Amino acid sequence: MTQQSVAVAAPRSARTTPRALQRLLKDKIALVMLILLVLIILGAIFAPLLTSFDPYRTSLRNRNVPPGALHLFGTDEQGRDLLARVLFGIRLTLASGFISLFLGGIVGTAIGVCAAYYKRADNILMRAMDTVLSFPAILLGLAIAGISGPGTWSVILALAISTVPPIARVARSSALSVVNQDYLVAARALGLGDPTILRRYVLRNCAPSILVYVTLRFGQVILLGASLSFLGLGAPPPAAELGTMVSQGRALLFTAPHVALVPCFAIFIIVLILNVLGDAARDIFDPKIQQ
Amino acid sequence: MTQAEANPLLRVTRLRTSIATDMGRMVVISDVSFEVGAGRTLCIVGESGCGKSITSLSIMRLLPKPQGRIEAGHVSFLGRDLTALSEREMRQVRGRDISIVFQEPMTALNPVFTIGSQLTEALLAHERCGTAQARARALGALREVGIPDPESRLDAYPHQLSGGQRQRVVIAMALLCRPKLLIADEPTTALDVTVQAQILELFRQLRNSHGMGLILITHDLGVVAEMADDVIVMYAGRVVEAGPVASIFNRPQHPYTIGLLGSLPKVSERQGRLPIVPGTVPNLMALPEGCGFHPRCPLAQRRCAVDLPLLNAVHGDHRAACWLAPLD
Repeated sequence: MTQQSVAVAAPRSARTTPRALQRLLKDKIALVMLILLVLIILGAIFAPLLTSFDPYRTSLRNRNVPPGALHLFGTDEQGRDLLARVLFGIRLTLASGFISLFLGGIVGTAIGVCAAYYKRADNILMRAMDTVLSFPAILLGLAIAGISGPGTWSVILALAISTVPPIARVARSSALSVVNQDYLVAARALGLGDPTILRRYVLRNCAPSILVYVTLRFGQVILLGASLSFLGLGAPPPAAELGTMVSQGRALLFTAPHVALVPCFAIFIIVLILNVLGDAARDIFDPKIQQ
Repeated sequence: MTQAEANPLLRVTRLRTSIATDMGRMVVISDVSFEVGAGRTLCIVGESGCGKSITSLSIMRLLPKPQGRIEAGHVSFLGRDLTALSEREMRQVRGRDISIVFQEPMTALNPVFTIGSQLTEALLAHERCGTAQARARALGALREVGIPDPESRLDAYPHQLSGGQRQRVVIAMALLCRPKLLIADEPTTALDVTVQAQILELFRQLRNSHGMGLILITHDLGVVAEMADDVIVMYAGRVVEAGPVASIFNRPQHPYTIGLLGSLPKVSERQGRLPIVPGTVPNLMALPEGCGFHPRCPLAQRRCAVDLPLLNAVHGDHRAACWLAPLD
């Protein structure tokens, strides 16, 4: 009885949210990474305020200037300020990564949850996912760019499509464990319809594992997006895009290594941060890892 | 019994249900027939795996989806054949006309919503009413099942309640729309004896005041004696004995029922070991020929291993599926 009265005294919101926060605070590395990510995102959003340089204005007199006081990260082969270009590039990279993950996440979750709930559709849906999964994402991107022409939206589409199958699999497996729960039969026995059951019962109960997987996936999506634009499928050259910048700087690797290395390093940092955060999110929300 | 015949709330006729397994289709209940009148209580007894729960799931059409199938028979509820309804029509029946309480209270509630949210959801699925009114109804339902401090419980999550309280919430949810028939699948197994008595009293009240029909599935013969008007005894997917409770208890006609009643502990006479019914429930995939009970039956004769006995009237409404009946 004492346990119950304690439970009543502290409602759930006051119990679980701080617990997640507490665990995050305990994980120092994740905390640092989170702060860094927030700084990077803010930097990307307020890029025009942070640097006085125009990422697109060329200056042939200042080509390949190494990092220094005036140009913190140096300039590229057309004399554009690399700091400005990297900030704008991060903007594009994060935005396209987020959009594709969002689209792919919604479609993948819908497919996975439906496959688990409507058992008749399971085989068809999941075999279709296996088919998509059998194409390497890069190849898929090449095909899509071949159809719709290179550009940011082709990259986003390719990333979204390649995100659907793994998310569908995660959604299906976590929905399957919910579908076999007694409360689902109980919900049907109450006369609730499929939309309500899917939304309030299945989706809500498997949302944590899907969200954790999506966070883990973010880094990979960014990396894949950079690879696609490195291959020339992203926004065409003048645009500031991290992968494209690496690809252009590659020619100068021996004369002006910073031109390729600066965007490389930006990609590295972002992917690293996202991976560490994804791991931390899994540790925080996965009930099985709670000590 | 005359009342039940005049006004059958639910009439199940020759129901036969099968489940697909890896080894092929398995008939889990066959030839199950019974009636429940308004305001009456039918108890279904039998050991685990004899088809009691499948019978209730068949009535509600909640069998596991691709595997379970009603092969034959009818479930007539107030004259409507439930087996012929569309899924949408069936949804209207569930929770409003017929409710079911499952035996597993720990997992029968959605863990991510509050009790109040789930209660109002169940109510709003069938009735139009405002949020405040729905909340008041939910509160009343919790009070009815004897949950202490119902106001604060409305905002509690299932994990904050004890097993007994959760089970009472589940029962409150089932009774929310005042169903005409309640199927309770071992509703009181998780509860301690005082709460059990309280819940049974509530069922009895609703039965008397609203004419609610009640199907009580239970192992507990004490509950049967206390609650039932009629009893059916199931064995290996078939009804082996059916009749009014007094008659079943006083003059059991099937050797299995006799065994069940005989294995009840008695306070008056202390014995060393309780008598048991030897053996286990047969594998439904490999049912013995003839009467399903004959390998365990102390009175089995040659005929029992060959021919399947059907339910036959022994005296009055008391029927038994045994070649030896009446056993007096």
